[in-house]
Amino acid sequence: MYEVPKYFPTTIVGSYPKIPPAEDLIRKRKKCSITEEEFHELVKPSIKAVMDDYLHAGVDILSDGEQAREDMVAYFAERLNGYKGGEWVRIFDSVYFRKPVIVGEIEYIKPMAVMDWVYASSVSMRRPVKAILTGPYTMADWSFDLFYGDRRELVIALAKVIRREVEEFLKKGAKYVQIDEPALSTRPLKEEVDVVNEALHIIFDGIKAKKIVHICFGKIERILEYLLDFPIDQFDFEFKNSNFRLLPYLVEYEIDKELGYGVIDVHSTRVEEVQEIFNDIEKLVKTGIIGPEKIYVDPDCGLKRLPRGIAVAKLENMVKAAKLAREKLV
Amino acid sequence: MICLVGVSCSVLGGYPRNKRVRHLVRDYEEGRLSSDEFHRVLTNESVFLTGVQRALDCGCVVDGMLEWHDILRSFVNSWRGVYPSGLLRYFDNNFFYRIPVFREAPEPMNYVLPARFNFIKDYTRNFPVKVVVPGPATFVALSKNETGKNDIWLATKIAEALNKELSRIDGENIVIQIDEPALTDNELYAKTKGYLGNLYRPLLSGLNTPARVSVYFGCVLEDAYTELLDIKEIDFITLDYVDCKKSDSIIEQYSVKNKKLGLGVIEARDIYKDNYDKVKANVNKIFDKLGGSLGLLHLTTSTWLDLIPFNYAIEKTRILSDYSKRIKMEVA
Repeated sequence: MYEVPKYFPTTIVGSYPKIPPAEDLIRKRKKCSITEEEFHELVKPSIKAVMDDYLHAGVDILSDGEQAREDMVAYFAERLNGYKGGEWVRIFDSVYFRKPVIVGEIEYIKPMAVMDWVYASSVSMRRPVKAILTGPYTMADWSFDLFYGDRRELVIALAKVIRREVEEFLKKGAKYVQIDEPALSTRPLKEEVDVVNEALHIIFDGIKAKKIVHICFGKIERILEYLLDFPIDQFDFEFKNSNFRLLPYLVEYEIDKELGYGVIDVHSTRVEEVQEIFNDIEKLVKTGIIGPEKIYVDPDCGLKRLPRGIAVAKLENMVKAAKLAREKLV
Repeated sequence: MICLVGVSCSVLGGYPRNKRVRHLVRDYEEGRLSSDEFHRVLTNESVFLTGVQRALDCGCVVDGMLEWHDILRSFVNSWRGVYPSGLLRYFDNNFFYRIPVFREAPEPMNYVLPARFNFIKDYTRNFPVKVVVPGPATFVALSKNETGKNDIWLATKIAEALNKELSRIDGENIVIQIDEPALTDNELYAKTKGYLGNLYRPLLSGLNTPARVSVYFGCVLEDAYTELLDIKEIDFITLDYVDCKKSDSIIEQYSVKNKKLGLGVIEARDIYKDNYDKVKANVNKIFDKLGGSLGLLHLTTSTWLDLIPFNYAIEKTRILSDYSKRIKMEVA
């Protein structure tokens, strides 16, 4: 196994720009022109291309780039009982997503994302690959619910099927499991955090892997003190886009877990300079709240909205900055 | 005792883009469509929407704001002194707007409102058309101020720029609605707290049309509500009664003074069919609390309909119309 650097390891949050023929295959799968098995076989070259980009940049802990996923909710919704396909709603500008509809009891059918992870791991040059799943709160929030009528009940139902998927990942040897909960920042309230906490216990209790939760783009500081009770090893937060607004709050609440530290703005095509990223890493180190062995350097969020060339350039500079940090800040 | 003069309804704001409009906007942005063709098709879509609302007996119609990427963007793109930057979450929605960055006082270069409302009026004839603009408190709260001046100064300049827009469409059969969702959030409201009256004077100066203010995505802050009540140029206040169950208490505590009341009673952010009995029970609470002081109750959607798919937005319009008629009949 590849030896992940002890200090300032680099990683990614999950998604990567779609690489042909991934999008075409997603369309074909939706139209049932190809089977699920054919789909996952045919999407492998796209996953391989992503892995090659990561390896070229020198990232330590990788993902499959979510090449098979149309988006982070619809992909899973299409593979669970209880959902039906949704219609388009806007996210921003001219970007839309198909918001699925819950019309029955949520039930697990079979592994949904494990096969892509297995393949990614086989071409990762022995570097660890994160198992990344959309969290139950985000699945619930980004769906229309016509069945449960109670957010907590729905979130718990989704947590149970996600637990099943996590177990499938562990059977295949996953060592890092990341649950993405970007929707939590839309309602930064203690009662919402409590629901997520309960769901994370369902997903993670007894799980032997590094347990990560990713949250981004919102007023996380309003709920930070409650988040610290999550049964996880690592938080992954966006920092760069919000100009490191969260840092003083981390100091105030004395974070004691590992931190995925977002230093790359995924909403900007400007490639951050190595020195700029290094300075941002130093900013965290200087707070003295967390040691370099607990800092995982990564982008703010998934890179899928960026042009591929920009995405890889950003990752290259991020890796160089982390190396510099190992030389100068340890 | 209920002494109600009337119940009316209208959709609060924009509509979602249907498949044709999604493709139209994309083709236009990618240079595959001329401006003339883009606006010709867009007009047809807007006319269709106004037709739906008229057929459903809405008291006034909106054109759908179909090409607006967010509530601020059309103004940001058309005014000097401000440009759109990175994305930020729009309140508690899975929807993002581009943060306006103000470098200097805004000045309209190309007016946003006149072109769209002059053409729409040709189709709606003498039927009232509602013009929706972001309020200055919300505009400044969602923006980045790099002018070197304080936020009150900037909000005043925004109010003046909006006034220039509104004064070019002011007239008969125009209904002006100022949207102020920021008045539900302490942090956002703090930028203009205590100054709403000072902002609304330049905003509504010289206009013949009385303005209505709409607050949604939660409970109006009590200080903000009392500020709004004191602004004489505001004729009408609409509150969100879906995401703020205590709207009735706020109204009871502070009354509506001499203003008309709008209530967002139809859930605009979800697709389930609203329960008529619940809507009616909520409306009855208002009747009970305000009794004879209420001259007109205007029912509307909790927010714009652009956060749900197009077909559901049309269905929500139908539900709004149907429930309003039933409530009106039962009250009568």
